[in-house]
Amino acid sequence: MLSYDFMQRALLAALLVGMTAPVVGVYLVQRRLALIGDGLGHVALTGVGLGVLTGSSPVLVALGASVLGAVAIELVRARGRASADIALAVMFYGGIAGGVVLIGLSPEGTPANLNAYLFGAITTTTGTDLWVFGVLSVVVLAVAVGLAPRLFAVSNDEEYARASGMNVLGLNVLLAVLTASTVVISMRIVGLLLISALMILPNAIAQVTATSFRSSVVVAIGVGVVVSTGGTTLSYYADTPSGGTIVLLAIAVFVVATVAAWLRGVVHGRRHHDEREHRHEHGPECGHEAVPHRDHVDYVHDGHRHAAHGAHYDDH
Amino acid sequence: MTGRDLVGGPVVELRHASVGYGDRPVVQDVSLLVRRGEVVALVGPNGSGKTTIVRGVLGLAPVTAGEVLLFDVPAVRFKERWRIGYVPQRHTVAGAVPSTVEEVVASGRLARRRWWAPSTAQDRRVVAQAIDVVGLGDRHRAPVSTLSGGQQRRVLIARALASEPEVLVMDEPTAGVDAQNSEALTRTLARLVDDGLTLVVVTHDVAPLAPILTRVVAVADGRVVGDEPADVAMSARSALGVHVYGHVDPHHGEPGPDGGPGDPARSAGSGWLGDPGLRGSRSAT
Repeated sequence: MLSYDFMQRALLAALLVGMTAPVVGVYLVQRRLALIGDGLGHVALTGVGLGVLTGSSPVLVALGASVLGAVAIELVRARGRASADIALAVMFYGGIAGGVVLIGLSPEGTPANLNAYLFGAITTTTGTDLWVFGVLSVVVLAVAVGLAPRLFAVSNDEEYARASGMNVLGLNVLLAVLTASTVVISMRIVGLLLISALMILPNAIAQVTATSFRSSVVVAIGVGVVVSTGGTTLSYYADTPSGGTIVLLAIAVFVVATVAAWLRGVVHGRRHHDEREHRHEHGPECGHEAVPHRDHVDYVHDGHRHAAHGAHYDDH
Repeated sequence: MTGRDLVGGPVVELRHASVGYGDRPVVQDVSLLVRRGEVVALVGPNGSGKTTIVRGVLGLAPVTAGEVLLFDVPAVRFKERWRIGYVPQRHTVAGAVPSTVEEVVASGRLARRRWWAPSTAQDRRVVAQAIDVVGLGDRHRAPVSTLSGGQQRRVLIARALASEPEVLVMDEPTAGVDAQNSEALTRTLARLVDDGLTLVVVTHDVAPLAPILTRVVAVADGRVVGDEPADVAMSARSALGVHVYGHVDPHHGEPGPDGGPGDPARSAGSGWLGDPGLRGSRSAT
C-alpha cells in the first residue's frame, strides 16, 4: 500500500487533518457551536467550484472563500439579532448551491469530481496540496495552542472575557478563521460535508474519560490521528470514500468507548460511581448522612455508602 | 454622599449615567461614587436595574448618557481591566468540555498576561492562592462539574481574584446558596476586605453580608432611591425600608415556583435588611 505515491500523500494529509481538526473543534464543542464547522464546509464548496471553473488551484481559492465566509459568519453572529439565524442559513445554502452549480459549469465538473470534494477520496491529494496543508496545519496548531488560554476563556464564559478586557470579537473571528483553515486542510481526505465530524467526534470520545480540558485535547488529538489514518487505510482496502470511512470509524470508536466506560462502571468489583454523576462533593455540608468508617467517612447516598476514592466514590 | 468616613480614592463612579439596550434605557440618570475600602450593597427588587448598573460599569451594557469612571479614568479609555474582578451571577461554571478548577481560575489571570506569553511561576502561584482563599485548595484538579453549586460560585470568585483586583463586583453571590455556604462566603469576603479589597455587591438580600457592609444603595425603577451607611440602613432610623419596601412589597414573600434559588421564604422572614427592627419602623411610618 505504501509503495503507491498517492497513498503516501493521502496518509500524510490524513495525519495533518487528524491532528488539527480536534484542536480547533474542542473550542467549537465548548461553545456549543458544533455545527458551524459544517456551515463553513458548505461555504468552502463555492470556493472549490470557483477554483475548478477557473482552473486555478481549488485548494487556495477554497481557503479564500472559507476564510471570508468565516469572518462574515462571525460578524453576523456578533450582531446577535434573531435575523442572524436566517442570515447564516442563507450563507450555508448559498455556499453549497454555488459550489454545485460552479462545478457543474466547468468542463471537469463530473459527478465523481464533486463527490470527491464532498466526501473525500484518497487518490486526489497532490504534492502541492500537501505543501498547502502542511503550512496551514503548522499555523493553525501554533495559534490554537499558543493562544489556548484565551480561546479557552472566551469559549468558556464570553461575558466574563469581555468584562476582563479581552478582545472577544477578535478572538471569535480568529476561531472562525482557524475553523475555515481546518475545513480546507480536510477537503481532500475527509471532504467538505464530513469535516465537521472530525472536529467534533474525537472530542466527544475524549470526554468519555477526560477530567480536564488539557487531557481532553490530548486524547482528542490521539483519537483524531488514529481514526483519520486508520480510516484512510481502510478505504484503500475496502475501496470506499475515505471521508465516510473515517467518520464511520470515529463513530464506532465513540460507541465502543461509551459502552466500555459504562461496562467498567457496572463490572468494577463493588458498584463504582463516576464522580461526575454527583452534583456535589460529599462533605459535612452536603446533607447526606455521614458514617465514620475506619480511617475515613462514608456518606449515605441513595441507600448505599459512598467513600471518596480519587476521582470517584467507592461503595462501602 | 453619606457623611460616613470616606475611606479612599474613587474606584467606581457613575455621573448621571443611563444604561440600556438599544433605545430602551433600563437605568436612568444614576450618580454613584464608590471609594476604596468600601463594601457597598446595591439592593432592589427584580427588574429594578441594579444588575444593569454594574453591567454598565463593566462595559457589558452600553452607557447611553452620562459617564462611567473607573479609578478616575473614563471607562471607555480604561485599560487596566485586571484591577476589577467580576463575579457574574451564574449557577454553574461547567462548560461542554470538562475543565478543572485550576483551568477555570487560571482564565481569570489572563487580564494580567500578554497575548502569547506562557504563564509564569508568579501566575501559577497567584492562581493557586486564589483557589486556597476560597477554600478549594484540595480540589484544584477536580473537574468543576463535580462541585456543588456553592463550590462552583467559589470557583467564580477565585477566578476574579486571580487577576489580583482592587475591587470585586459581584452579582447575587448568595442567591440560591444555603445559609451555611453564604456565611462561609461572607467570612472569605471579610478577610479580603481586611486586606484592602473594595466590594460592590448586587443582592436582593443583604442579611448574609451584613457583618461586612459599609453602605447600602437602594435601586428601584432604574434609579437610585436611597443611599445610607450600613449601620443606619440596618437600624430603625433607616429611610431605605420605606423606599425598598415601597417598591418591593407587592411581590415580596411570594413563594417562587420551586422554593429554590432566591430563597423567598427566608427573604420574607428576615426582610431585605435582615433586621426585625426595620419592619417595626415600617409599620410605625
